[in-house]
Amino acid sequence: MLENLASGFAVALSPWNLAYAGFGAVLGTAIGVLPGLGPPATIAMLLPLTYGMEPVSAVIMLAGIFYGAMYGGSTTSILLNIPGEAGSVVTCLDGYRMTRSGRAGAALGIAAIGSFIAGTLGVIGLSLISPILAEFALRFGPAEYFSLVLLGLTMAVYLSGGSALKGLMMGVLGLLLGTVGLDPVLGAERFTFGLPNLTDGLDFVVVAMGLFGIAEVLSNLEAPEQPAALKTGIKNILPTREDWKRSWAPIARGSLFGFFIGVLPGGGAIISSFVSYAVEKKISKHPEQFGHGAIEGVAAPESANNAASVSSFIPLLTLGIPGNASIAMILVALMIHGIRPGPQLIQEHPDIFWGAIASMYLGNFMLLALNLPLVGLWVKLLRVPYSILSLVVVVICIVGAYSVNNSTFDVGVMIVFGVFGYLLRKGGFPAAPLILAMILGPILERSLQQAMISSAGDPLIFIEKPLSAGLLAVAALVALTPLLGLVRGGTTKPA
Amino acid sequence: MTMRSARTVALTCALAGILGFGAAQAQEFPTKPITLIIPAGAGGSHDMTARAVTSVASEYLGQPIIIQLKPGGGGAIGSDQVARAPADGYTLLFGGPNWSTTLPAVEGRSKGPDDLDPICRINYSPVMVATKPDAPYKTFKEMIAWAKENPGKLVFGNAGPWSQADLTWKQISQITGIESRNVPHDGGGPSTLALLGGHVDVAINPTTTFMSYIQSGKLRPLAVLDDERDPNLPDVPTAKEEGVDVVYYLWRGMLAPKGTPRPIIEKLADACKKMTEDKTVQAMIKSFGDRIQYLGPDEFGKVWRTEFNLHKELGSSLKK
Amino acid sequence: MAEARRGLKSGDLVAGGFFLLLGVGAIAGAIRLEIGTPSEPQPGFFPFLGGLGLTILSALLILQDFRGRSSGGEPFVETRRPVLAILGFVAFVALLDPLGYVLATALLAAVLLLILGVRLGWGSILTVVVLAAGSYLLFDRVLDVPLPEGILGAVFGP
Repeated sequence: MLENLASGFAVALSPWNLAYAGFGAVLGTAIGVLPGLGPPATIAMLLPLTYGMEPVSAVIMLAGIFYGAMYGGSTTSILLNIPGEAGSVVTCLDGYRMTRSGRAGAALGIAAIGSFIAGTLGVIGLSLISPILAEFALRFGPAEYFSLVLLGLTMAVYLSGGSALKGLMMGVLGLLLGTVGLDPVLGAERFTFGLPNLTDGLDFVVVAMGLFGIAEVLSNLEAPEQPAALKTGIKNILPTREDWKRSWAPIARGSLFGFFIGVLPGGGAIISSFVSYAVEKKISKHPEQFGHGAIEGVAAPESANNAASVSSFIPLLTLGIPGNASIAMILVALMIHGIRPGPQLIQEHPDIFWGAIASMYLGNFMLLALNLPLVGLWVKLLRVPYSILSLVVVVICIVGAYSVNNSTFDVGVMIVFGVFGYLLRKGGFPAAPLILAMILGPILERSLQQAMISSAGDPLIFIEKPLSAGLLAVAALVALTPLLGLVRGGTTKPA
Repeated sequence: MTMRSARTVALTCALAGILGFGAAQAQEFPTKPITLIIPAGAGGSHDMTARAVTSVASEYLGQPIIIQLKPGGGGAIGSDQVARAPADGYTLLFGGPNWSTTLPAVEGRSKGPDDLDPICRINYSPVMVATKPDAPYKTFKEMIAWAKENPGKLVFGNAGPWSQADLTWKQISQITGIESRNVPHDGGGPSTLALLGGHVDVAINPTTTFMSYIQSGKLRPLAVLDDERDPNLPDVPTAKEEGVDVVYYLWRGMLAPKGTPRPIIEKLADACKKMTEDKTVQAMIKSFGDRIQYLGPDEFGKVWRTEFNLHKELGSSLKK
Repeated sequence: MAEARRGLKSGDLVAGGFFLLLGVGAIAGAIRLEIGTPSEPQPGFFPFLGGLGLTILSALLILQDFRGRSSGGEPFVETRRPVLAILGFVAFVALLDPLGYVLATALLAAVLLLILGVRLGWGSILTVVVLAAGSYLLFDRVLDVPLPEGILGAVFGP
């Protein structure tokens, strides 16, 4: 084991491979910060470059882009309320509130440090127990997926705060929005109104930029003076001792959730980010601060999505099956070199397996070294007058939405959801459950149908499988809290 | 000179002019990079094959071929886009049976041989039926017998509506009369995972997808849905040998908008042939577990048309 | 305070009514798609469940409102500026393809600055130009995200 890892470091520490890892990390951070151009598109663009490289170098560079983007992805969420990738939606909730109260530096700092710790813990886990984890991932059949997603959605409603009824409504609406497009079983068009642009469904980036970014701009237009905190109070750039005391445990728990849930192909990274957020809120001594700039609300999900980005390599490295689009491109890079990842990869190509793992240890260091100094730069950016900052938000959202399919239609969809998000906010409807349900809806629907078809319509399948039953029990437990509130009617206090 | 012969001469001149012009155009073609649209997601077998073959395009075509991924609608979105593009040979589609044959034949979506012209086939992957090693049946025949004894109990994992797996399993079920639970998956990767995890009993996927699990003893091959056995798995019979005549070609090829001038098609097909004969390309394709099976525009067009008509028939007899 | 509360309550009523209609619409759409049975779900199966859920929850919200329970929200402080901005966005979407990214974005940015109460001087004109042209250069030219060329593309070529 240690010998293997040592030989891996020998591979990863070669000057060229170090350079590739650094290049990948820098590029990944850049595209993470600029929403719209996601990691899969970037990796696809760079793929031809890797034809002439050693396969291990190719993996080192492309993996760097992937986990680097996870580091960078939190930046726009925290600074501008624009979630550039699914894993950072939850980060907006408290990250942006922290920025509004002059604590952008602490939020960005804790995100970078949490990411570093989680990434490193993730790589340690990856080098120790990948094969076991792969077996664990295989045990997730349709019933287990269904129960996990249901648990996740229950938590999404819970984490939104405010009225439980309105949170539930947004969750269900998100599920419905997730059904737009071709249905997964028979390929029939649903709710597309004959528009070819909708056959692919609504893209979450487009909807999220509208609901968060554009809605925020519209809302701020009501009182377009510079928010007081943005103007003056950017004092501490790095997290304080108090921040640390509050964050270390959420970082550790977030890493755990991210690592284990992130192994699951499909929605693993996203689910883990808001499961960890909801858990922190639930066990916190001051849950009322969540949604108003609680640092735990940044530390936990950011750690989770980084740990998940590491463990999402496990299905590729041990089973040969990519868990998401970015990892699929890394698979292509390996296949071009005649290497088919799979059960035999560790034996047949130990240099690639261990070299890639060692490079991830190093890559995490590089990312920390790169991102901490950037925090100061980003915070300075906030000194720009709000009128110009809001224009930047608008431009980023427009380019991001347009680039998803290179179509103006998506920009229109984003504007529609921007207006909708603005009205939702006025009505006290939380946007986060909507967007999370929209992303997870297709997974929920597919696993429900798969479970129902494979059990010939017997709903007991969800209870007969122990893992699924356990997840459902936790979901019921989580649901009890807000449901009690529902039964009592209304919520905590009238506005 | 009579009127008639004058007219003939004029006609011949005009014809020669058109032909000459066409030839000249073909000689100049291509003067700018060609866009190849893959209507599927990144990392699939189509993506990989296209990237391998086009990596040497500028050597044989004088211009690079730029790959653009346009996934969505099961391939319909990218296919529709190419069918609408000008028929000048600069916008091509990377075709496959899912979106270029089955979908238009069965559902009337995407674009088939009525709306696109064939350039060439590059290769095809045979697909196969596999199960877990601990399954109560050891051969294809035993599986059919087991399914007949336990009607509605066998759980099959397909790779999406009207995918190679879905279509061939429906064919097998129709021929043998077995009843099973046909569970949809989001593609070959997820259906393989479901099979490995024991959430489905049987799955159909390209041989290349299953190969490493078969070699490591995690999956048991039952039958190949090809005309002949796979040279890498000489002991695995074809379904045909087992008495169920189901054959499927998961082909990959180049298609052009309808009405692309013949000289341009020939120029592209010729370049494509040379690309597939390139040593580095052949090595790459081999490393995927595939081999080149080039077919020119006419032969490929015939095969494609036959397949289209077959799927049309199948579609109407299998739908509900 | 009492006035604000009444405003919010009727807000819940409007929202509840809207989502109720949406839920009923989803159910109708699901029935048209066919619902099927749990063991043989048709495309409408899942949307039907969702539509049903939304309908019931919306009805609950309306009921809650009638019972006089408020459930949060923000009052409208000022509607003129947001409405003007929304009109600007709509115009932008309509003009993006014909005018191209740079011109349309510059126009939108200028309109937003006006709404924000920034006087159009050399400084703000410079801001608008730098933002539109700069983002175009960064995304289209450097990062290879193709943006609509529009009439400028026709003039200057690709």
